[in-house]
Amino acid sequence: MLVPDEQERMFIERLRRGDKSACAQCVEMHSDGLYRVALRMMRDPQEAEDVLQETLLNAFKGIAHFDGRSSLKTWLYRIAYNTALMRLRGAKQQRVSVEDTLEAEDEGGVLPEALHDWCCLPEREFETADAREQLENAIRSLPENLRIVFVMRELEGLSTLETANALGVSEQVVKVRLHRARITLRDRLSDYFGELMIRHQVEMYEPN
Amino acid sequence: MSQIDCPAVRAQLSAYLDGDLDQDAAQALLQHAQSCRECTTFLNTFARTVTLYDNLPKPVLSADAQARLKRAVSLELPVFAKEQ
Repeated sequence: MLVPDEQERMFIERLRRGDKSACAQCVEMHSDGLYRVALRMMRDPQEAEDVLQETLLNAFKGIAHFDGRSSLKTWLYRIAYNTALMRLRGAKQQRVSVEDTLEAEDEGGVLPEALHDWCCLPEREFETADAREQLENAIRSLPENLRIVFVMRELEGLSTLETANALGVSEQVVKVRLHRARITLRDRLSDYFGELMIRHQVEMYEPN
Repeated sequence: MSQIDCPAVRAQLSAYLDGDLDQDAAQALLQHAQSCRECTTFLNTFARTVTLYDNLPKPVLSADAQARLKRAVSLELPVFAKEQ
């Protein structure tokens, strides 16, 4: 993909001048992605909307301080993440410390016992409201530091470098956290889909 | 070619799926998985998990919310244009 640096530089220049149409364009380009990240963090549409608004206003106000070391998009995600984090930490000081201890948890070589290969369940089993709910719940149950990496990398499609810049961590940390998030999600989903798999197998051998 | 064990296979699954493993390492991983039913299952369900999330519908900001946002931004614009 072509990333025209010059075009971005000019766009940022317009934002710096308070150009109304540039600001509107920026809102249109980035609000959905930023909103989804805020929604995953805040878990509430109204709160997510507030975070989004605060993010964009702070970004436009602080655009003079944007140093161009990362892309505008990455910078916006960084502001959104920090804005959401501040609200969360303000609201629930307790939860953060619990999650920090999870970070240090050693995943070691413990292997789950029985494994059912639910990957090839009929497609319709993955498309039910119930299955969708399981997918959402599994994301919600991730510790915050894994969840934000998973949301940015997997759901929003930011690159490893963009995610690293947005979160202020190394690319290696992003890779490790993405992997841990996927492992955790797989484990959670296995409880549900593994159960479905067993039911399917039983039905196959015991037709009505 | 080097041999790897089950925990090593599982530790490398993301690197494998994301194309970060070199050819030898990827081959060692696949070779192990072919002879280990549990790792095959793990690999299949892991990859399935990733594709399930890739296909998750993406909520968007409602038209109302976007309009509110633009209004808020344009109200503040003169203020921060002055600050710079």
